[in-house]
Amino acid sequence: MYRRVAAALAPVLLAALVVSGFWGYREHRQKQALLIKTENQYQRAFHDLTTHVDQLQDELGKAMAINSVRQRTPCLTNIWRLAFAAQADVGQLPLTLMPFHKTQEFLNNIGRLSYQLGVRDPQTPLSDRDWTQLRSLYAQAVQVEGELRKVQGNILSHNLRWMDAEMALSDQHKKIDNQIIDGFQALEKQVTEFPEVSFGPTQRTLEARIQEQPVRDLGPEMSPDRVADKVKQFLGRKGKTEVRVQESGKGGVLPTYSVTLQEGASGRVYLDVTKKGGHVVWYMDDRPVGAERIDLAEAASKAQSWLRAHGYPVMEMIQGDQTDQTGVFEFVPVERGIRLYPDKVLVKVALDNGEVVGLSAKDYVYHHRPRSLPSPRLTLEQAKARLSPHVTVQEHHLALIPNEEKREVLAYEFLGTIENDTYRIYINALNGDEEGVEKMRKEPPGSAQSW
Amino acid sequence: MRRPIRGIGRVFLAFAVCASVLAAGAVDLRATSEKVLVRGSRGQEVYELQDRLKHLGLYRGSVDGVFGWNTYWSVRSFQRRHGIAVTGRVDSSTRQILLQATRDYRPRSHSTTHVATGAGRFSANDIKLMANAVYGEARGEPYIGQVAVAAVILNRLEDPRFPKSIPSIIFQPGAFTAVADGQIWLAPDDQARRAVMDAIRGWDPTGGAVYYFNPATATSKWIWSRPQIKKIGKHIFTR
Repeated sequence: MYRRVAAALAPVLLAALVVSGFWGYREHRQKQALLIKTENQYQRAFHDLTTHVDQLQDELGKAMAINSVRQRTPCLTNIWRLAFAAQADVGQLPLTLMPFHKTQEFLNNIGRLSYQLGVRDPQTPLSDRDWTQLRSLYAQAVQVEGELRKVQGNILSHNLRWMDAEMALSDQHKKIDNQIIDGFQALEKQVTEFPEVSFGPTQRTLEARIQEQPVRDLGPEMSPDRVADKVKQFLGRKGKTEVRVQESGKGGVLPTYSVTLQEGASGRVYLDVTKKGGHVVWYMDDRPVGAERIDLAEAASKAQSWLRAHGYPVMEMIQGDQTDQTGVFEFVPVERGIRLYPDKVLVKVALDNGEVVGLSAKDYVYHHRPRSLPSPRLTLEQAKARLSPHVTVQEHHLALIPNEEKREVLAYEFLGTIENDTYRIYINALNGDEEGVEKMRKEPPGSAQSW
Repeated sequence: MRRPIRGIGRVFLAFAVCASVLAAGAVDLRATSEKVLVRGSRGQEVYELQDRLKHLGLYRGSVDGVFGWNTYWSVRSFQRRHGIAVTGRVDSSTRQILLQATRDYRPRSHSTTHVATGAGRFSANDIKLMANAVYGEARGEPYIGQVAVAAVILNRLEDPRFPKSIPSIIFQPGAFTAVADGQIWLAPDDQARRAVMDAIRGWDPTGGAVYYFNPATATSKWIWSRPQIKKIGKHIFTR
């Protein structure tokens, strides 16, 4: 009897086991997916907070160097927006069990000052007291940013999870030992130590102003064969190299050919060439680069002579920096002593043998053309008088820059300092308007060598 | 009996000190020779340059081995003070004068681990996050395909239809599969990081793409309707 019942029940039991096992596995998978999702939301809020405070710090520094209502209003409005965004980020972090009042208050202070100076009465010039307040908030922002960076560095290099921090916080009995929480406690403590403040566009500006379409005539259309020949000549490759030329899809802004050269097993060379005129938009050789043999200064002069040999006009190097074993240099053409920023090119040089292994020339292809450049109506001294009195001028040039309406204007470019920060300020050479203020980052554009 | 030995010991000690100072001097000279330092230079030589300038009271920034604007301005004021051409470059003549001006300077040892630095408007952590995303999304793709994925993230930054910061773009729900399935937390390799740096520097192999997909695994019909630009590796890049 018993045996018969058992025999009948065994398959049922087995089936139940399989079903429940499958169900459990699915539940587990779903739970995992939810956990990842929640974790991603926390990560996003936190990294956003860091980015916002970083930008806030940058814009506050910028506000200190601005001298015109025209530039100040957007800058301070931006600060106002960033302070609000940062507060929203803090609110999304799972730190509800931790007192976060001081950081919120600090962000609130920034918001209030920027609203008052930039939105409520933008026409009133900055008083000395306003400027001192800005400076003090800037100094605080630099510190807050530093603390956040430390936490962020810890999170990224140790792959820390916010979910763990949340659990550690909600578990009252355990002694809290969590790097995320420690970091935030340090941040909150630091903000507490700030003295009370009494209340009574950056690189972006230039980079975001690239034209969507070329503003010059590129020339007649070229066949793939002609392009292949042109590319070989451009790269100095002899007859045998195999060149693959492929037409790009219709989705692109500008009709181009994608060109690939296979060089042995180790490396490949890639280029984009415009269909009209066969101009090289960018070029990249991904060969491995050996140990550093030449220094950055020598690499820069290699880049310069490479440009000359490839038919580019007289160019001046305005920026150089190093990542691993390559140097990347920014060049702008100079005409009648005027730097033509809209026509910039980037050249990448391998530091093992000084060979050029990359070119990015989209701006040059789109913008470079014969121009009738105006003469400045303001003298250098008149332009200098338009600068904020807090800025110490170190260098000056004449430059053609794109303004906010994407039109090219002639401007005096001033490189100046306030305390330990360097700024690039543009004063329109025809009417004296402040066209742009950029705060240069402490370090030159460079690599994250180690994390 | 004991005194002479001590005397000999003392002489020996003095000799050893002399030798080590000489050796330090030799190392010091070699470390600062050859290389011309310009804005953008990095490394041991820059640490020492900054340290020497600091010694003279001309440099107030941090000694971080990165020849940035602060170092540049202090090199220029050094050159101005010594009546040589104000170039902001440390070539052999500037170096000679700097070495003479800082004869009493003794090199300190620096931790040679580099400080993580940002690039232009991007912080070191933005770069790290992007490298994670590129590795999670496109490991196994050719190098150019990895630069392309990084370029898409950057193109989204300029596009009004997408969030306004690198973290927001990467963590936007549903934007990247590597984020949704957790692969973004794999440790990225060096190649992914270099690809991100090239994209940040201004190389965009995609010609302005803001989406990409793998035609073999894409499940969304919508993605096929986007205007295609080109195929790099396994991915099709679209606007």
